[in-house]
Amino acid sequence: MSLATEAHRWERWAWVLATLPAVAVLGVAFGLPLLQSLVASFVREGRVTLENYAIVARLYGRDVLYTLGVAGAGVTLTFGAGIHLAGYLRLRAWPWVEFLLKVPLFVPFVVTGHAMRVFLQPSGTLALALSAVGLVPSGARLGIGEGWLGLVLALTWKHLALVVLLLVGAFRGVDDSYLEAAQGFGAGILRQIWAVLVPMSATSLALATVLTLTSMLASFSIPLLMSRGSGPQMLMVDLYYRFGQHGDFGVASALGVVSYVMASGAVYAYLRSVAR
Amino acid sequence: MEVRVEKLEKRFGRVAALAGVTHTFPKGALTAVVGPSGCGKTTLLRVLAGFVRPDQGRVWMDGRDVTDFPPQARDCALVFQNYALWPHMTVFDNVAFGLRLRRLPSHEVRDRVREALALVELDRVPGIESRRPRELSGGQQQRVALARAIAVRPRLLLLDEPLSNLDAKVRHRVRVEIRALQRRTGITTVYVTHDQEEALSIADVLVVMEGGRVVQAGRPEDVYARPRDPFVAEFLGSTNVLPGTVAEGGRIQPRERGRLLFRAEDVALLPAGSPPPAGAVWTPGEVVDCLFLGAVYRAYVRVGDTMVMADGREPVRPGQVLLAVPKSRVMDFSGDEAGADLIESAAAGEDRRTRTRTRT
Repeated sequence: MSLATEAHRWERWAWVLATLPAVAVLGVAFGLPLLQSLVASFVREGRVTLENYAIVARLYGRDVLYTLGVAGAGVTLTFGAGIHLAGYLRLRAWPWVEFLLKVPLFVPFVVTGHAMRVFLQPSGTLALALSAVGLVPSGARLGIGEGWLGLVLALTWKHLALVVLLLVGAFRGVDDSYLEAAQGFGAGILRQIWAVLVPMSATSLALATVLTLTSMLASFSIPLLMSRGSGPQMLMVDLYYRFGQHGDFGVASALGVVSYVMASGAVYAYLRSVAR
Repeated sequence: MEVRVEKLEKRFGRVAALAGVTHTFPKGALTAVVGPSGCGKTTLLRVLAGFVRPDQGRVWMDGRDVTDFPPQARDCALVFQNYALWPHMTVFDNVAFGLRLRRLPSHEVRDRVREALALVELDRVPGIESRRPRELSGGQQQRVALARAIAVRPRLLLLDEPLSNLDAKVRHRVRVEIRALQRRTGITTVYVTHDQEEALSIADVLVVMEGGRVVQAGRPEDVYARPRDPFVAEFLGSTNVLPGTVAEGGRIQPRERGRLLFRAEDVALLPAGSPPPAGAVWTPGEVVDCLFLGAVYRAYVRVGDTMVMADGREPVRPGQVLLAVPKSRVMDFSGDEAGADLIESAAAGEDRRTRTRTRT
């Protein structure tokens, strides 16, 4: 065996040892609970059954659609704003705007939820500001914070910073010559963003979409804080109540598996787009 | 379109990329701008394109001051060094991009894309329109970039080292094709390159830049044969720089302050002890190596501490030789009147049209 091959073998083992703690933690903290909850979702009163899923379909079917709808709308709004902001930052380079856009990254989810609750609640900061400038009657109650729209706005605000950060990085990877070529033919900023930057950053865009969608699907603190207690809920809130208040580990596990399948769909779509 | 730049200056931090460039690019001509890396040639091109705003100076196109115009308002098209073909678009979409932005009807877009592809001789490649850039060879990508530029029928075509990513054989072929295309279309063209051979062969007008300035401009033959500056003399061709001056009888005397410049193709190597040829400057030397370059053999001759290149049709064996250069082919930038006069008097009988001696 040559010295080079021997060195290569030792290097490989060194890497295995270096990654072992991380893999072990992942296995214990994520893999094992996932397996347990997958098994538990098919067990009810000691029997293997699909009853947990039947309960999910009967009691939480609307919440599954609501979660998908809120996450879908949130992702659309986040990327609708994020692509343009990142595009402008790539083409114009405004360091202060870029810094301000990153601020939400450092605000915890719980704080965002509480801030948005105060801001959007019927007689909150937004309602007071709008009535002060005469856009709504004094004492009027705004319903934005109580419904899906408030939740979508809160999730968008929270995720926009990460999306802009990822997209600006991806857009900066596009060589200036591609943009100048378009500009030379008369392409304006919007055309340069949509005809050059977005398609040339498709892989990063798809990854950012998956990250954002899965994060919104799994959002808990913000929906919990903004929840009014009635009407449809995000699935993570349902899961929390099913497990924490009802002690129903079987249905909670089934809810978890449904969430996992929803997120896996996004990951599958991403992997397909990367493989093309 | 005639393009004139006046007193252009551009600094990037402490570096002066352009330091007072004034030049007129003639209408319908192909002007090659050549110079070493960092001489400001690409900055000059980007100022013409409108991507860089000069700190000082003006840019005139057909008598109109366009210094403050954005790129799209200048009626010019730029071919980038890396071609900048959008990888997610087909060849058709790449070429049609500028035409669609001009809101031309789709049938006209189609016709003009095909016309442009035909001009660059890509129309005979089956299915070329629906291919993506990654499915093309380097030479084909380069032609698509050219087609994209000429499809919008610009009045000024700017080429930024367009052949530098191609291998030598393709580069030579495409160079001829670009020249022919420019002749056919008659578009005023500015061609930036660091390759002197490329510049000499392709240009109607040659502009040599150094340190952000135009050092010399003119017909390629004139600039090559009559450099006005030691830099130009050294930069163009395989030029030898031999420290020394010419003494009585044409013998080269090694001296610190004098510099004699002559090209490798003008050097004759004679057997040691031969009588010096009339009308030549000469010095003994020692051949240390001889390389076959394809078209010629290049001998490396040690003269004092300097290695002199000498090109010839036949290989030369290592050993002592007499190195001789026709006096009319020696460029003397020493500023030494006596030495210069010696060269001049020896060359007086020769054809004045081929003389290259220039005083600085």
